[in-house]
Amino acid sequence: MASESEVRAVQESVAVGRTAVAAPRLSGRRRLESWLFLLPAVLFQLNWGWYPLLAAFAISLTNAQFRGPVQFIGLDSYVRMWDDPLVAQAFKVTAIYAGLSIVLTFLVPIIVAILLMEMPRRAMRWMMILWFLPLSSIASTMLFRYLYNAQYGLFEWVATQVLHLPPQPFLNSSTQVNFWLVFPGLLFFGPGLIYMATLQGIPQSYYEAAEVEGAGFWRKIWTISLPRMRPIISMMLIFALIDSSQSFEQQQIMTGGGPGGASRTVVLYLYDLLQYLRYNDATALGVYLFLVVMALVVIYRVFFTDDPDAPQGRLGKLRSRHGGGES
Amino acid sequence: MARVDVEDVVKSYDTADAVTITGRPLRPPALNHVTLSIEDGETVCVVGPSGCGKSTLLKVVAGLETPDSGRVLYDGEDVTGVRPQERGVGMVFQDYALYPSMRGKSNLAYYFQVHRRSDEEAKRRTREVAEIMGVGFDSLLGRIPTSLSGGEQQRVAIGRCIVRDPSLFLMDEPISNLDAKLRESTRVEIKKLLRRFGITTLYVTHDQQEAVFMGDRIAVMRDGRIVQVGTFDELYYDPANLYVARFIGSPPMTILPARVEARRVTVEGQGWDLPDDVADMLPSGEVRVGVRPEGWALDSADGVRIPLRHVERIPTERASFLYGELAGASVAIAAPLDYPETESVQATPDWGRACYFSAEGEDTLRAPGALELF
Repeated sequence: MASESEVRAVQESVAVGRTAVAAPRLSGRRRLESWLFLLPAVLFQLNWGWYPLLAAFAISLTNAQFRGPVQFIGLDSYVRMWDDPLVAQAFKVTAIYAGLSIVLTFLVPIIVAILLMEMPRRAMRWMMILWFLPLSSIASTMLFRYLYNAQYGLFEWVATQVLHLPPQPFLNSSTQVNFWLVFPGLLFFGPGLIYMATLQGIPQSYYEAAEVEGAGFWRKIWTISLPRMRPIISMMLIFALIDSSQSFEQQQIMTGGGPGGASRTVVLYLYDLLQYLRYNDATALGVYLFLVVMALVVIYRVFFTDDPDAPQGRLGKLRSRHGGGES
Repeated sequence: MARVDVEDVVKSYDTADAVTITGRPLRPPALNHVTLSIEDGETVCVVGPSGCGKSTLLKVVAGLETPDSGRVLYDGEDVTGVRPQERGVGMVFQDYALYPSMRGKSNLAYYFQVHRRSDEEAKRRTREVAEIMGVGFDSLLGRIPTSLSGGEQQRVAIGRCIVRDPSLFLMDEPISNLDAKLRESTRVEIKKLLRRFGITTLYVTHDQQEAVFMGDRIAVMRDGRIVQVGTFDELYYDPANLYVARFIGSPPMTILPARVEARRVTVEGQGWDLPDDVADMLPSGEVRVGVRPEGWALDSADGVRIPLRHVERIPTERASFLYGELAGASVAIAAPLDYPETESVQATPDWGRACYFSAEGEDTLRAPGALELF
């Protein structure tokens, strides 16, 4: 008979979610079946995921001409792109755009979601509906192009007639253009909904416990809401990083990269290069962008962990080592 | 230490909170004129089915919810509008509610941080609590809540509750999430703590056995009202109505439809003479008779034959329970442990120790009252 401590140990391991028993091995036939099920996904992934990625690497090392023999030209395209002042500008524009969009469409919804949870239920539901509106991104972009119009746009009217400001250039100003490109995302951005869903999943008793102990509003947010939201925030931040560094449609539709290249992102410049049939340069630029995004994601993953409770990342390890001394 | 009085409290939840897809159901108030007093150092258990308002009562006492009307008094002082942190209560929750990103000791130190007390005080109190909580508690403090089992989490949560010396314990089903074995040991541990500190405690549970074990007195709730408050014996032998009679006791009381006429009682065509003191109190006509499992005389000559479904043997209580059916009602009868397996049993209710209820409604017509053991 198992002793009580053994029983306790088993119960604990089950409670923590460790499986003591290894999953039974699949028989040969089963394994074949599972591969058959996986096949479509694998084919898709190889064909539209990995093949273009590897092909881009290959093409970027050639002259990539349709006519005549394809020649290997080594890193010439990379050197040319490195020296191209427009590339430097495009990266700078992308960085500005990504920074703005992370602050406005990633950070602001977290704060709004937390504050909304404190609002009456009715206000909260209306906000959720607003966030949940199934808007076509192209259509709403077209709409915003009209709203921003310097002659007859709604925003111009608000600026001059309501706020009595001098006429605003909006998209025609090289300093304002990136802000106004990000702005629609602030109003209609899904993460807010995801944050609210996460917040609603936090048991009320956490807040009640903190309240009984005398914690105020901010302390409750700092010690309960944010820690519980952390995995979601972490995931959404990666998405925001990847998405915003590849932004293209809005610039293409609203500004075409103008004025004077002030909103020409890397992908937009890449698209321009493709228009000029400079495939080798375009792919080389694509590889540069890929490396930058990859580096950002790796840096991020190293320094931040998804799971607040598992000290796996560097900071987590540092913290846990440090935490041993604190008491 | 505190005496707590809840006076005529009414609490309804905002209807906007209860919106469903089909509309807004009009719900009865969660607390409907509830009055309850808890003596200094006493443990009162509140039992009732889920949704009966027992957790709301706890929250009103804690100050987490404000009553629509009525008052809450601590030691005779009106605290109805006082915020929870100023009431000096300690609360333990069903889901433990440990702050997820903090280690055990930070959880214990949270109160001292919030109130800007010194680290020394927090450490000293944590050490004291670790001594009180006994073996192995120290090792829990260095760990993150999610890496602890349910029982360990609840120990830390209880530690967090006592670390700041509350004048009132409020426990909201603290052990319902634990598995049976752990529930048993945690129950004993909490009971020991309550004994040791003698702190006024309000303990909410849906499990009547837990309530019997924990509480000096038990309050039975239904639909936002307290039906009866009393010791276990009072509830068991003198139930205020049919609801309490059914709720208290395990296995539950057998409720038989019967007819009283000319000082005789008839169940399924079989008649018995009623004892004089019972017959005096009962009107003629249809009644319902409640018989406790121990209230049957087995193998009696004038017994009614009851077909049995199964027999449950409980060696620790040196008893077995015979389950069967009579007049459409489920019957549970206590028998000696070595009672033979049979298809049916002949048994007579002890009419003098039975409860009598009206056929319609739930009023108690006659209850036997507590046993005079001495």
